[in-house]
Amino acid sequence: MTCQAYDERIGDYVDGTLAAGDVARLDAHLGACARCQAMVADLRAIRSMARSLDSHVPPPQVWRALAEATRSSRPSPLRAWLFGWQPVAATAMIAVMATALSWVGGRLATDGPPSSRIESSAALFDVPHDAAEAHYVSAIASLEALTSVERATLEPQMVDVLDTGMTIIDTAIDQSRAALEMEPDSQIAQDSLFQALRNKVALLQGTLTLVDEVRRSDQDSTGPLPEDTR
Amino acid sequence: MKGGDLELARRCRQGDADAFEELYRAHAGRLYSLLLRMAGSAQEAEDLLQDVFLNAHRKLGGFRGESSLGTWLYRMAVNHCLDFLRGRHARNSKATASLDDDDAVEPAAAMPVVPTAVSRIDLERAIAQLPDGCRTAFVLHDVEGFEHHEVAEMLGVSEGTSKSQVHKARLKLRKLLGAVAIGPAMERPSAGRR
Repeated sequence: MTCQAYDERIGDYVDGTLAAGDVARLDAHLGACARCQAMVADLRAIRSMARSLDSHVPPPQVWRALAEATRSSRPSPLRAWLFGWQPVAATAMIAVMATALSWVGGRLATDGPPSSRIESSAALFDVPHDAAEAHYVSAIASLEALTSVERATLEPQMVDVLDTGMTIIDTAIDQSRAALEMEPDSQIAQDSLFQALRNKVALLQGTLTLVDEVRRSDQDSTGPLPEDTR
Repeated sequence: MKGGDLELARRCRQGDADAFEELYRAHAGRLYSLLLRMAGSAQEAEDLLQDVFLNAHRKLGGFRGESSLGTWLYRMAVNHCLDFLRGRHARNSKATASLDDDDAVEPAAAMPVVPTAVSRIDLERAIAQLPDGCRTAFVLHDVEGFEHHEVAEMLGVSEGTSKSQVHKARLKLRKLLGAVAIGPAMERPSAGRR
């Protein structure tokens, strides 16, 4: 074989990944070929030196520019709250929702004293219950259509927190509707349903507000760095 | 270690400037070295390093601790630099196969041409003069220590292409370093992209 025929294998030989049979053949060739011996010696030297190159230190202006850029893009209080206190926020949201659910469940099971009843939404808006519920359902459908697309902007942890809250609210809605099916005239069940629907509207609106907040923050953080810090 | 990373990421997300500086100080050196060698220019490496840490600052909310922060940042830096190099390649039409067209084929020397006293600085300068394609493969394989199949996956090429690019880079470096001993000083790395 010619030297050129071995060239393709010298890389693997230097790396120690050449098959044993090929190593033996190349060794035999190297014993008689000064050109290929020289190439192997040089490539080994280059490979060895490359592995031991020193680390470089970035110049100080890089950090100064970064510090300046990140200072102007500090998270807003809303985002910082959700990012920074995420476990606490999730726990708090779950606790609040669980309390609400428990309250709903309790109210559905037994009539409490009149003073503890929440005000009837239907009475508040002076519209029939069916029309009020249809109004909420329509608003929720519109908001869900928006958030299903927009929430892709949010970080996964944020989405997890929101989903946790939504699951709890949906459970409250389902329980209220089940109670209304059993007792269609129950004011407690009706009020509980409206309260849960209002919570869902509020959470969906909050999601869209958060999306806007994140977008504004992201736009700020991707802006150009100050020229004088480059 | 992971717990420490998660805590540091949490503090950064809260807007803790000290935490972000701690993150930078811990990883900037390794990332800058990688970017400097992959991009071949100090100015571009500085720009890329800033981009990487700004992206990290934005995306720390997505850090789940499945890998270390160092690995997370390293992956981000490699991907960002590869994107940059692809853009530069498209702009400059600087074909990665340009070694095939130049006089980089190794000389038929009967003795080693790389002087034993060659310095690491000489090697750094020579690496900076490699064409983008084979320089990237060489840096990832020979300097950073990735296997060819890993380099191939990162670059979106076959393992054979990775081997070929690394081999070409070594031959080109051999020639450049051989010239150190006998020829004029090698060119300094090119100026920045700005």
